[in-house]
Amino acid sequence: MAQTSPPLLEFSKISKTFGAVAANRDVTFSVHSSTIHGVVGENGAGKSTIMKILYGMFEPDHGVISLKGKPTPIRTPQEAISLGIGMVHQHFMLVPTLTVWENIILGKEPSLWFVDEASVMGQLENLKKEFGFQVELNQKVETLSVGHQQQVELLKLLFRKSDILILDEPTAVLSPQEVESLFERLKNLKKAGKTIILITHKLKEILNHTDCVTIMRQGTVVETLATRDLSEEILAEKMIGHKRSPLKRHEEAHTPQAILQVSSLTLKKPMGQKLSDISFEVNAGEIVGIAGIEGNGQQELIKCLAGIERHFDGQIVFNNQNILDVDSYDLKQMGFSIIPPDRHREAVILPFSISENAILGHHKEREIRNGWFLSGSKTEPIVSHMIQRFDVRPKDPHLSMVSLSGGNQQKLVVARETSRPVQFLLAAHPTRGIDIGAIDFIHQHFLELKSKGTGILLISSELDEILKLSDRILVLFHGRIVAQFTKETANERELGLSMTGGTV
Amino acid sequence: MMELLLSTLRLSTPLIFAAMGGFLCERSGVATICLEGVLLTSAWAAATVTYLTHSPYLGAIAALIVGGFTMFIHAFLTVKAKADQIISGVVVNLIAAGMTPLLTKLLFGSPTNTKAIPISERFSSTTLTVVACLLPFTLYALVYRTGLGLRLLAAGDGPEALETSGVSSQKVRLWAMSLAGMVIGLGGVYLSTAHASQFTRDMTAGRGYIALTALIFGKWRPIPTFVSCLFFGLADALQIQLQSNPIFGHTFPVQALQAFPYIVTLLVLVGFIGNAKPPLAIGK
Repeated sequence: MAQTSPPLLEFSKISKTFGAVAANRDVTFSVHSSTIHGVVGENGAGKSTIMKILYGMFEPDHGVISLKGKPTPIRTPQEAISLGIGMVHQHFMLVPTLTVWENIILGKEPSLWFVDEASVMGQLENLKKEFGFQVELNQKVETLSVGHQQQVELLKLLFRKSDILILDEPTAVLSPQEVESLFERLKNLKKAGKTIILITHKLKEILNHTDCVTIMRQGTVVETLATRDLSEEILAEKMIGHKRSPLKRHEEAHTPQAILQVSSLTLKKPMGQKLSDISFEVNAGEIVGIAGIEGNGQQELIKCLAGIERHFDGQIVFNNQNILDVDSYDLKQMGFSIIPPDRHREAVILPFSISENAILGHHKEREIRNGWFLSGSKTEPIVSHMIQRFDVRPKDPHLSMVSLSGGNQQKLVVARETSRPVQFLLAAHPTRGIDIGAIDFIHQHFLELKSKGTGILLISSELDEILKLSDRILVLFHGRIVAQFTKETANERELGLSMTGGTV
Repeated sequence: MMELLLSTLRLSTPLIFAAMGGFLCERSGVATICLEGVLLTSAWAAATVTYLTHSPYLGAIAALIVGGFTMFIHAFLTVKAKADQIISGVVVNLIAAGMTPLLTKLLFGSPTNTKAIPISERFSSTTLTVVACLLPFTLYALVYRTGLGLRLLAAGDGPEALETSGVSSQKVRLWAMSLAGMVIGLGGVYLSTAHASQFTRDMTAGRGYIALTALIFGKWRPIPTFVSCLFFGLADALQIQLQSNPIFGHTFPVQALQAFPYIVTLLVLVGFIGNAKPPLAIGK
């Protein structure tokens, strides 16, 4: 990249510690004007911290940020905003009960007294037209899809005339189509002279859409380079600090024997997605993937399988028993395990300790009890074994669950759900929001379970994950199974097409 | 009939002031269980200062200051010290219930009431009633049509969004609550120097809580809240009329009639609270 003028934005030797933890150490890199600059790294690599420093939310312990070659201290978000720096947070910062235009002008109202709605609307309509936004200005934000809410966030920055737009994991909640149109829009913004900093852990986004990328690991910058010199393998390697070990696949051993049979499952509910006539089986030693864009019935299917939603037509049979006839505790004892989709709400209790979380749902079992009481001394060896086997860090079972990273929390959940003999495992979004190391670990573990004869139903919105693990793939669209693929026949293009309702 | 209407308006006036103060405060994201206490301290201040200075206007100014200050205590505890909003409100009510008789005793010798204000020095109740009836519309315009109002609504429904837009939600709340205290203060002026001619101990008699109910019944919107205040005023007016006019030859026991507005309140709460959606950040 030819450099004649100083870069638009320069971080030099920025350090920030929280207590004993160094979140950023000597972070140095620069961002050039009118580019899309990716900042990539695992959870805890320090990418959010450095961006919060740029946005004035944290003050650095050392180091300088320079704008257009001039050292510029940024102490508060207000200062950042006035310097033309804007941020779209991962969790949107919008007032749900206000309308789109009210949210956009909030904090930068043309007048603190009566607001001339017509002139504001005119101004915003122009902005919308200029950058190709579709959101309706008079709608309340709470009625908008997440994709549209994100448009509101972007419009808010444009209304403030921000030149540097920071986007923190912007695609985490979007459907593939929404992701497409987001990047389309970002390209337009780039053409219009805006500079975009994209924080993400998704390698594909970096490779397909950025000009430059800064790779961070453990609080430091590994390297900043032009995206066109990169491949996915190199990027992943630099990000995690070592080569990714390829998945070890085991010999296919068992003859098919159905463990779970779902027949004509139909769910009619006034709210949410309906399910119509879903039938499939999961055999012992087989991984069946359910692909689909979120919101096409996954949530409902999971609830039916988990026995939370009980008013459905059709049957779910596990080991020749209708699951509605069996108490969910007994079901678990019979080897029916669930990794729930929402880790924080359904899988763990955050304020509880690691050890308490590790025995959650097993507290009735004799092996961890002394009469009526839970026994710490009996629990400990079981929990330490889980922690060792699944490499959960930190290794102290008395720490609160909050102190674990998402990946380590999820490893503990997987450990809890699979450390007893498992015949059937419902794995719902098992690797959502966790780092590559943990993802690889969990994938490897699934293949091991499979080789031991466990039947796994993998429900995920990550197409890569589905393709990598599944023996058979079913596509869920509008509450129906619209397509089936085998490992051999599946390819990304056809899968993607049937996920959006297109025929193959 | 005309008598009933006028009586309704008179009885609704303090409820409207209190409920509109509550509206400002709760919309900014802070629960106002302390309406009763603010009403009480400002009523005391109005009566005391009017009696001592012989000027109803100085009394009213004192009531606004004391009302604003009482609300500021609540604001300080909840916004700055991050105390629980309900506990803080109860504390304010308890302080008000204790301090007003104490100060009355120190100044006037008896804890039960201040000395009566001559009729010529009382505040015009008609003026205050007219102000009360215009207030909801003024606040509607202020909150739903101005930039300040936008910030107030954002403080109540999405304080983080307000902060990231570069506005301190704490400042917005302190501002809104002090204004709320002054609005409620007008209710105090009405109670002790217009409707009555002196402050008597616990003279608010639960009006702060009824105003809070009206606010919930009105779904935290100024005009419906205004209408529900009128409704509670009507219930009160009816009970007074029924005391003097026997129905079908029966006279009801006074106590049963006096309980009538409260029973109506209870029924209203049972019937309607399920649909009411408070500002999102309240209590947080």
